Amino acid sequence: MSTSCPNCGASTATLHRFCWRCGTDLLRNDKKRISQYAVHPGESVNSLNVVTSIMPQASGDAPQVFRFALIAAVGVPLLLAIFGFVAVALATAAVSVPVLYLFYFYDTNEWDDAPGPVIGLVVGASALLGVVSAQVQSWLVKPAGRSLVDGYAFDRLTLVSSLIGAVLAVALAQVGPVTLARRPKFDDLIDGLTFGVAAGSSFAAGETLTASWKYLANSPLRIDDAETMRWIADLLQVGLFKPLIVGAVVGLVVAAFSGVGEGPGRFTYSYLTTSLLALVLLFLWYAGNGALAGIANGSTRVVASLAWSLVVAGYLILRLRVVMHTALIEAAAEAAARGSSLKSANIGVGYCPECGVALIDGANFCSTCGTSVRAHSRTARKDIITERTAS
Amino acid sequence: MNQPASTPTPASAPGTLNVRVNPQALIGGIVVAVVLLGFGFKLGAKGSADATDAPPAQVLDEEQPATLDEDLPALDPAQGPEIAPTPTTLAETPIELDPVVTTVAETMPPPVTDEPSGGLEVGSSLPVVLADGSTIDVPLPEGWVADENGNAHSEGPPWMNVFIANFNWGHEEAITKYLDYLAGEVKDFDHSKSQSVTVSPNIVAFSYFQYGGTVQWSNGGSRAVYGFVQIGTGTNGTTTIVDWWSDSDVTDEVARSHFKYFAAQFGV
Repeated sequence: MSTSCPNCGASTATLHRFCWRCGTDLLRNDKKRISQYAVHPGESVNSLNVVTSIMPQASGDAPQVFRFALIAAVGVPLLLAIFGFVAVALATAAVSVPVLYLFYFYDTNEWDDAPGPVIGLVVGASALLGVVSAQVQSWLVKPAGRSLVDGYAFDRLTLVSSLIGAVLAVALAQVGPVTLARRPKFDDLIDGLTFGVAAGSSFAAGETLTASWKYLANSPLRIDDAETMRWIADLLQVGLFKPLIVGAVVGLVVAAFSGVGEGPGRFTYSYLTTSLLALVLLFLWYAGNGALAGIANGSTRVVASLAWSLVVAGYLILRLRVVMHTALIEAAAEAAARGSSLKSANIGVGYCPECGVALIDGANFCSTCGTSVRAHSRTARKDIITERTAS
Repeated sequence: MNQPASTPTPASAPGTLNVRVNPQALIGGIVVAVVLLGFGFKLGAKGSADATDAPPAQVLDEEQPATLDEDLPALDPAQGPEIAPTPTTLAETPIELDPVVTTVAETMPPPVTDEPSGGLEVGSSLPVVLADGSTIDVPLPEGWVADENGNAHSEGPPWMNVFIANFNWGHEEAITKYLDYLAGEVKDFDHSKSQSVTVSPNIVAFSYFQYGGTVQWSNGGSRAVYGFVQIGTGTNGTTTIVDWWSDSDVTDEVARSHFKYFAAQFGV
């Protein structure tokens, strides 16, 4: 027995929970389905799950692996710091998220069998531009005039340095992924967002390593009496929050460039407003840390700074999820309205990596669990094709 | 036909690069990669510093004598208290940094304006308010400017700063509190042993120490910082702290000449 979707009119089986074409929750007649994230319907859109937000294509294939990998990537520098290897911990923290992304790209074949352009533009170029940004900041913003006692007060220099840092990050870190988003292979929002986050984290790594180069060069390999708690707090900032926050704002900008539907990205009004929002958010994060340093000292400052970072990162994660969820739903709905199909739609025999149920030919969503087919990794798609060929 | 998601798949299609790895290998690979990269960057930074003959770290060794002794008046370490490092944070020991009315005239001899040491050209001057409301001008090297807070900094290379403040603390108390303050601000704070010398009839105790470490900036970066601190206590009990510091590259020669210059301005 079949019925039709009240949103797009697609023919659906009575027992289907979700429309295979537009993703509408047929049980509740809810086309926005905020409680079922299109990437990973087991979660609400309003969730702070970092992995399903910044590595959307890992969720269906490897639901826990990248979560543990992220914990390991953040935890390893902390362990190194606890044992006194603070310089190594600092360098490790700086590169851990970009390295995690390389493994993610490899595991999900996000680079679509062409690793060169992705690694070169997203990771390599962004890291190099991070180096340039740190150098420019060190030339433009000298600490002269700030006494050691009031050196961290919330003054004009803090505002200027925060603004310069934010402008450089937003302007430079998007160069690589925007270039990539103009290619037909990587022209949709989910690619733009993912490459943007990876580029932002690589940019942050380049900045951190350059700004810390003197310390890396001059400090001993191991320090017996390192102030472990302060190092742990700083490593969380450098290794987790900075790549996450810079990555998220760049991801949002590149996602806006890519746009909701398919086709090469363009500089639109939405891109402009998103860039301004990204600039403001990044400025607020930098300046907020500076302001907290001016009004709090010692452990109070450390805790306040981490809390502020948590607030900013949390907001950005939620925004990333809303953007991705809305884009996946809207792109499918628009295609359905036009009577066309998405490039990512399932062709012939296919299985949902999230729940294992067979997908309908031409499906944009799994009709059982509601996962977006676009959120399946390229590896999963190739596995299906290979299997079909073998059989 | 349902297909479990975990069903093993055949080898990848010809021409594809993706080969699925098992989760343990993936996580292990990530851990190994980040640690190797971390060590690589540490060693690479060290190598680049060695290759460019960059100035050595200013993180100071407790046992290592100050390198600037040759340019200073003879010091007698036996006269001064040995201050052990006290890595106390400000949260634990709040410090009241409210400068009292300056009594530089009482605690310090008049600045040596005619013969600044170190061969530096004299440029502008730093006005310092005295206890009676009058001011004296401390000459600054060329390229240095005074700021509105009563401190000074160089406006071009070598990007250095001088922080000056007066407190009602006794000599040892001032040293301890300032060390505590620095330890709260500078990560991995390290300093040389404090040394003392009598430099003037108006100064009952004079000490100095060097320090080094790192400071974290709001945008996540960290930089090495180091400085020289002079602590003079006058006959009226007021203690003046002069902290000459920088977080930029400063060669030993520049550091020596500037330190000697400022030491001369404050009667050392």
